[in-house]
Amino acid sequence: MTKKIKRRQFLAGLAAAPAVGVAASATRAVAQTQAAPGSAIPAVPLTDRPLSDMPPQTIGKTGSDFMVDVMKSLDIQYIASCPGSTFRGIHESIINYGDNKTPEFITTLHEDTAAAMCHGYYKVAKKPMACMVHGTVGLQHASMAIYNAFADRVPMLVMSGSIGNPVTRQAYIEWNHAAQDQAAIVRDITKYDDQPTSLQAFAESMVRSYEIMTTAPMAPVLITADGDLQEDPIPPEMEKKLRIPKLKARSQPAGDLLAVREAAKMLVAAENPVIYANRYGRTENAPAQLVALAELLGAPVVDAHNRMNMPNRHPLNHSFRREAALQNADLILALEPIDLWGLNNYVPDLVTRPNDPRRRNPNLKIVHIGTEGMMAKSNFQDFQRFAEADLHISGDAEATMPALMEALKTQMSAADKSRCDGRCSKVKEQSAKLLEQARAEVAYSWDTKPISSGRLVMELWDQIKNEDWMMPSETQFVVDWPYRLWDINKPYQTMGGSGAQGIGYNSPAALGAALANKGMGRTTVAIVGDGDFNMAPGVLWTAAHHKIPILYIVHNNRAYHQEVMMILRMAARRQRVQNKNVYVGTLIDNPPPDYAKIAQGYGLFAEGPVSDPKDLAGAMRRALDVVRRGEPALIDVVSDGR
Amino acid sequence: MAHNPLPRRGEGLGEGPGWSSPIGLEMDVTKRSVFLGAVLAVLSFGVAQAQDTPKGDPKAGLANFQKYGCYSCHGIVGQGTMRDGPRINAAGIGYAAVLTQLRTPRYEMPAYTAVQIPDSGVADIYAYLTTLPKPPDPKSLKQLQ
Repeated sequence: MTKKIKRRQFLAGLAAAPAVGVAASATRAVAQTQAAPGSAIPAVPLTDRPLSDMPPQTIGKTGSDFMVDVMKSLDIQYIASCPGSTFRGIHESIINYGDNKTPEFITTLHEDTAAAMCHGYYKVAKKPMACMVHGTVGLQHASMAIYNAFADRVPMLVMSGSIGNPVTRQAYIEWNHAAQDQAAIVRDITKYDDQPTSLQAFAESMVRSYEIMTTAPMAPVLITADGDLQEDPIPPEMEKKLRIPKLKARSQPAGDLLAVREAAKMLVAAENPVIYANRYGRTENAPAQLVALAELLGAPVVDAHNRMNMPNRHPLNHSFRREAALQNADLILALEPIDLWGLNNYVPDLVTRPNDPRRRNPNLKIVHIGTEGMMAKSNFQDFQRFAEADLHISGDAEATMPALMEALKTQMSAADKSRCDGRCSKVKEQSAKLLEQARAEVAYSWDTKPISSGRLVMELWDQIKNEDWMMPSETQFVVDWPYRLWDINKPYQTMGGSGAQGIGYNSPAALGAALANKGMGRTTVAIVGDGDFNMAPGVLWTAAHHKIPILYIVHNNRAYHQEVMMILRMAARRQRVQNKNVYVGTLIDNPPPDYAKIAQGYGLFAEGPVSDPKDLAGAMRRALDVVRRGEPALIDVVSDGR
Repeated sequence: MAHNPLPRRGEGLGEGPGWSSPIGLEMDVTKRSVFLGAVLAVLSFGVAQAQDTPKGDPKAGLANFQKYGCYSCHGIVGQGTMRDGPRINAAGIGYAAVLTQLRTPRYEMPAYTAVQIPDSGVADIYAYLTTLPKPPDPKSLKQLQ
């Protein structure tokens, strides 16, 4: 007997109990003119049916009400979504049964935006957010942002709906929005997926998903909720038996102790150890731990900025004398590197694409602590090129840090300590002029039009430096000026990049971060490229509608600028004369989009285009006043390419 | 053709076009001084050949700087963009070195032949870069303090 028939019998039983005034309905089923084979509902044309045959309502708790109970038990604060019929049951339960709290429904204008918001939210809140996407079509929209999060090892709870039983699907659309195995769309880029067939299984799968996605290596998970399971009432006898498993946070996988002791031994023996940190900072404790390790060893740190790893002005932070530090190293301790091979090798963009080893100490040893290799899948190649190391420690680097510190302190003699202290002083001296050099560099383009990224970044810094700020956007397209010139010392002030460089990440991820910052007294400022912004302009409406305070600055170079350079490279390589068509297909101009007007149309305060650097400060001041009042704002800045 | 004295990629200038490098690979700014040192070494060569530096038109040079896409990697006033191209503004680079780098580049810069950019066009670009106003003293900018 199918689940559907059981459901019908249950509804019929309720309908036959007039003493309690019950009339249950399967709304989708009664809309059909022909009953499903085996259905308890007779095959009578809809218009000919007496109303009494159409149980119009359910009473009591529904399946999706219970699903909301499960989400509340997991303390999911927000669920971002564009509405869709495959999860209408859950949608209605969230806003009415759940009173639109825990989770609160955040309306987005694209599923990619919903998923990218989850990405940014996690990196600030350090807890997952959910998005809910329409069966098949919504999931495909969301898949780019899911891939970014997967490549960035960031968890998110992706929920979707599906009308699993073919004979109860309405014609046409519900078939288009159903799949035999819709998780296959994103299975290569999620850590776990499930389509539970009962409410108890749903509860257990949700808790399992939460545990799996928040245990390193982290990644998105997908739970698909069956349409009937959502919409049907829960039989009273079943309701009594339902139980939501208690969520118990799992410890993170730490490195094997024997291997950690071996790493400590190698570090103590090294003359010039260098620490390389990339996706290391998992919690807000991470920067302080890394500083303590660097101070203990007297080792410079090269921070690749994909997490908040280390205060940028700490004198042991040598990120902007990277090659000098690495060339001098006889041991590199790589903490959660993304591309360990690329740390010491290079494939220049030349015709022959040679494999060039970087200049390194011939006796260089590499100790690697990380989890990035623990979730390699075969299709997408985000796992990077195979890299050798003298000691590989499989484990979360931050979770391994206490044991490494303890092992170092145990193994270091007084002489070792003295040697490391002496080295520490010298290494600190080597970075003394980095800030001064950066200030000199940024001045070169101070007064240019189009406005230089350096001027833009430093005008912004001048406005926010005396308050609690957070910048969630990527910095590589503004020459990393914030990391060179700002004072980034709090563990939440930056959050790294997109993971897979899928364009359209910055605006929605920044909004997710701003959502996490909401109510924390932090000013969220994001500099987003125009190409990136145009992938998800609807994010502005979500910001305005939900009153999420954030300042967006559009770094408007009126181009897909990276690709401008790429096409120039191709044209030069092929000796094209005059480059007459070289900008075809890469400029976002003629007409130039007016981002301030677009933002105003979505309900934001906005100014621009700002073309004169002298006008920047005033525009930023006015926009930040709006943000400090709790609303979003945008400034369009006509910018140099970089 | 004169020997190109500029360092090869990875010997000082760090990363090239962003997508060819993982995010987070920053150039080594202290090594830039090595680069500039190399350039300055060329400068003396350039000064010695000053009489060979053709006269260019700065205005036409700006147009060429945009037309040929120099700005895209080096910035509109040649200020440098760290990942994509070094600073060539006030870098003391002699014309001969500029021409050599353009024709037979070291590092990842695309090569431009005389068919693509004639020597006169390079001279205009050189004139543009060498007549740019001096940048303000960073100490005079309150935003940098």
